[in-house]
Amino acid sequence: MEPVLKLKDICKEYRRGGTPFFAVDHASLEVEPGGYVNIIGRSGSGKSTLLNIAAGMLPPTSGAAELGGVPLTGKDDAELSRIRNDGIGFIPQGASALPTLTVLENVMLPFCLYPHDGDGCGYARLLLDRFGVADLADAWPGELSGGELRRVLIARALINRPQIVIADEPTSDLDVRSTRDVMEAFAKLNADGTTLLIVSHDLDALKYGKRVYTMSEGRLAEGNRLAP
Amino acid sequence: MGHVRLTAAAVAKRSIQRRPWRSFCLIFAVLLFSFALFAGSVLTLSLSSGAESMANRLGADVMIVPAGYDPHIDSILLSGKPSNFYLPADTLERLSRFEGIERMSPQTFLATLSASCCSYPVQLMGIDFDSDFLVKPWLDATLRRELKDGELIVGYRVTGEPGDKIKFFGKELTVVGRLEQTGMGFDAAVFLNRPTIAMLAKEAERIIKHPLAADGSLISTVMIKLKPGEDSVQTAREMNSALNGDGIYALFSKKFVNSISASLKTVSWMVRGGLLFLWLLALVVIALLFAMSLAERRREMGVLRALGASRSKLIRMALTEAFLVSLYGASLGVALGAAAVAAGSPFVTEALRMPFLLPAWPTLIFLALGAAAASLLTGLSAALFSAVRAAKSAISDAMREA
Repeated sequence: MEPVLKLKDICKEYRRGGTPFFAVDHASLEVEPGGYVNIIGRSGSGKSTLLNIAAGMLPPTSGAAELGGVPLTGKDDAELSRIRNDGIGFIPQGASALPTLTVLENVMLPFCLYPHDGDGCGYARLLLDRFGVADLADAWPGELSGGELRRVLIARALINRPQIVIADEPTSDLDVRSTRDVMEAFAKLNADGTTLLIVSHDLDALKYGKRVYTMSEGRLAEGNRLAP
Repeated sequence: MGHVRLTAAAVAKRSIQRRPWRSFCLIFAVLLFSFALFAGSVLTLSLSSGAESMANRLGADVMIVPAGYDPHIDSILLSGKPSNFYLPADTLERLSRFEGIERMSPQTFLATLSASCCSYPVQLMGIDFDSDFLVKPWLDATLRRELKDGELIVGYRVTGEPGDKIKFFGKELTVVGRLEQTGMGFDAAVFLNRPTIAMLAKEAERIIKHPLAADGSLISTVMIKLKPGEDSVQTAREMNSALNGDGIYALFSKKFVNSISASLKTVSWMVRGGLLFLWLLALVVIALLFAMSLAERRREMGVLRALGASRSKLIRMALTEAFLVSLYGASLGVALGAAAVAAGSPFVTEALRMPFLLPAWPTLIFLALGAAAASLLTGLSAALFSAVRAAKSAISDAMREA
């Protein structure tokens, strides 16, 4: 079966104080349809950089990235933006809802950025209901708790029925209970067939995934290398 | 279940509504600019139309007034200030000796009083129908007959509609017409024939002693039109050297127009300079406000990019917001400018002592649309730089900034 996401020998080079260094150093990864991959690593290990490359938001210095067999490299901004909108459900770190839109409008936002068939509003309400926040549809993001907001952002990531959901530290600023709720929501999504790639430094998140990779100094290795 | 449509305009509107203070500052900056642009343009154009109208209306190349009254003539011409002054009895006869005169027409002034005898204080101008070339062309075109005894025509700003009765010195007169706006003192004057003004002067004798009551043939000014090719400055000079000792003073009409044009030029340059300064200020202030606003929302921009908004879509969204903000500011500014012009034009006329003639409706509408369009373009240009800069930021960098 062809992988949904394929990263091959990815490098991302930056310069710090005039000296070049690899934020991502020859990393390769394949995520199968219905897969649930966790990437863990300490701060500054390069995991967010790798995630940004995987989500088509950052071009790699070298290597190849593909989504559903379509290369993400060598595309212009408009093409890449459309791929992000249709194929990737991205959940950024922290509270990343637009404060001037209601919860329902935030969920509908990716649907409305380009012409899409179907009832976006109805589907957005369905997703909110699925994540137990339907009664907050008309609330403003600032009025929500961290856990509620995170579930809204998961709903937003799913509005265009993407090939993969990519989440960057989805539980970074949540309490234990909210973290558990969010991770259970991800587990349920995966059980329903959604492909997930999640970056986290929370080792408790690992029990919800199927495969785990560890990122350290830009290098990606399979397995939990942070375990004591 | 309500249906939600989320267009770029709807997102922009929400942003404007949900950030009232920032939106107020932006709208206010555009408002100030469009207000100044519209009001300033109308002011400049009204003054220049007023001067042009004065030159056309005056129609005379030389004006004869009693010596010593020449400094007062501009207040009569400009503001219609009620005045009484009369030339020596043989003025017309002495003037007729000068060659180069094509036509000359005497006028008799009588000032009414702010008392129960009169409907209101106003300058009455008695015109000679056989020789008049200032008011008669208008009468020929509209009334199509002579002004009879006991009839009057009111200036544009004088109360009274055709058919109304107006009382001066206890005598009721019938309004038969209203002059078009001239932007000059004529707008605040009332025109009658000379027999009627002499009759009114006799009536005035019951209240005040008046020289016109004793001699109804007295004249206040003589308007002279010269033959083609005659030099008005030279003719006025010759008349003054011949007649000045006898209490007769000749002014070449261009003197007013020239001095008004000179003042007008200064005012116009001041208005234009002020507008340029305001435009630069508005451009910088709006650009700064947009830059601050977009910098503050850098993370939002990053999120939008991550969700699939292309750079051009992001720029369009930012410009839609700038367009709406500028549209609100421009519309309000033009509306306030129109109100200010309507309420303030009499004060401007008074303060600047210059003829003031509001442009016609189509011109006003054109100026309003032009001022609004210029304000919109200013707002959009000011926002464009910040929008392009925000859209060019790396998505990951933008999202890292909370």
